[in-house]
Amino acid sequence: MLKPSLEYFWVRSLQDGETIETQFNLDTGEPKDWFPVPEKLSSIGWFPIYPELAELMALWGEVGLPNNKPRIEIKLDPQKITHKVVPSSKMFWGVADRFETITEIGEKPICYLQEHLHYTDYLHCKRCNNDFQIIDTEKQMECPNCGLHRDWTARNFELEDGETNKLQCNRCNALFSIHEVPVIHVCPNCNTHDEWECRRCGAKNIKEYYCNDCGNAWHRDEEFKDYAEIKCPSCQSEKVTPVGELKTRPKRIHLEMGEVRCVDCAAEGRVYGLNKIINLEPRVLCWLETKYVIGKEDGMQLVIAEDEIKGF
Amino acid sequence: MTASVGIEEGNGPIGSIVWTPVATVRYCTADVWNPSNSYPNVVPATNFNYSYVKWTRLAFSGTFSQVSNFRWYCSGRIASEWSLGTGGMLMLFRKDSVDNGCPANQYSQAGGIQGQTGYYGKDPTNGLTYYKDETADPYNADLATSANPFPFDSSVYSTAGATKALASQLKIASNALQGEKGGQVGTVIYDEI
Repeated sequence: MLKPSLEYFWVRSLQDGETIETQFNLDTGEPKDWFPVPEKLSSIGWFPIYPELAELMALWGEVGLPNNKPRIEIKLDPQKITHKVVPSSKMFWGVADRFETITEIGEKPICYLQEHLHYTDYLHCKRCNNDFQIIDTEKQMECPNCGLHRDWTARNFELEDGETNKLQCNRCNALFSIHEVPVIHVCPNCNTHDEWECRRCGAKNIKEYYCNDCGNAWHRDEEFKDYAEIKCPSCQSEKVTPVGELKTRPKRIHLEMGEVRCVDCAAEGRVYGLNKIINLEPRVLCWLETKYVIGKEDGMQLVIAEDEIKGF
Repeated sequence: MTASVGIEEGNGPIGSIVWTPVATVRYCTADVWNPSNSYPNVVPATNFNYSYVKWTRLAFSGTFSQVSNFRWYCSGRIASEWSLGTGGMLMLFRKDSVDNGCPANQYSQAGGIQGQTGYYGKDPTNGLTYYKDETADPYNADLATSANPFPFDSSVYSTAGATKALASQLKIASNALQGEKGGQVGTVIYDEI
């Protein structure tokens, strides 16, 4: 759960122009409810939080951010007469069948916080510690034929089927429709991306075991078997995994459910899933942005944001 | 006092729905809040595919005077940045004459063919009970920007609780681009005094 960090607190002056009420008791920091609102006010304002008040607010679990921003104050006429048209209080079978005019004395204030709760996710590169969001997806495309990333040339061809826009891989020269080329996430700083490894057929190439407890890596002679009882020769841990062979795009079969299988194992007639090595870690971010609204009914209102003040 | 707030996602069958605090929403083809890389959305060969419907709401706690006027907005570029194809979009479901958000007692579980496509929320047979008979079509989320947020709950709350739920769903065209998608920022906006 998130709680707003306040840069301003509300202050309202009563009809006499001298008595004030504040959002927080200036001596103790105790919060005050906005309601009930006095009928007649002479001004309303957002005042900046000052250091001593922030300390007192903290005693009540409120977060105040001291600052030197100018106060925003609006004068109200406590004697102004206004007329409002409202549904009649005389009811007929429970339904208001007419309207009436009521008279009110004093301008009515508008004063509230407008909270914006933003939520999103982003990627953290484990190799270079870069945090980033993907925006330009065209540069993240991966060649389905050779697995090359980013190096694409858009070319126009007049083809028999009428399709004119093709992408050509600069390494293998294969041509694809844009819809055939998958987008993957690539760190804009170091070009890292997630990788896929096969721990079974990797035996042909890598021939290593890795201990998850002590980090020891050692040579293995045989193909890895799921049921193999392997112990680390250094610490005797049984938490051992084989190091696999990395599989670039043409060596992977992506299924609809999100499962990815090894092409080389499939060629041997074996169904074997690939293990995804997450180099780009998805992370989430959620934050509250507070804006301060002030004005009077039937009049102009101001929205005070971090970097601007807007009227409407 | 000011309210503490957070986003929650609803999953599970009617009668035993679970609301989980989340910090992001991942559209996928299963009724789960944390699919990771499983159940990706599938680009169809023809027509449209859908994600499972997502139910999200704002929960608030603590002591406060009043919170109200709940709306949602985004960048306005979801369909293009996620390359959802011709007619593809993020849809927000709406009602003809009452709040667009769904009260907790009207919730129905998101359904579909797991791993392939969700049921369209307004499908006459398998759609969402609370929305499928409405005249209003789903709203294109890209029209809901900070200048024009999408209202989903006009209630005024003065005690801890949660808003009505916003129902949303991805619509994916046959010419959508496949692959991993970048993050988008969603925002719930509300008034507090």
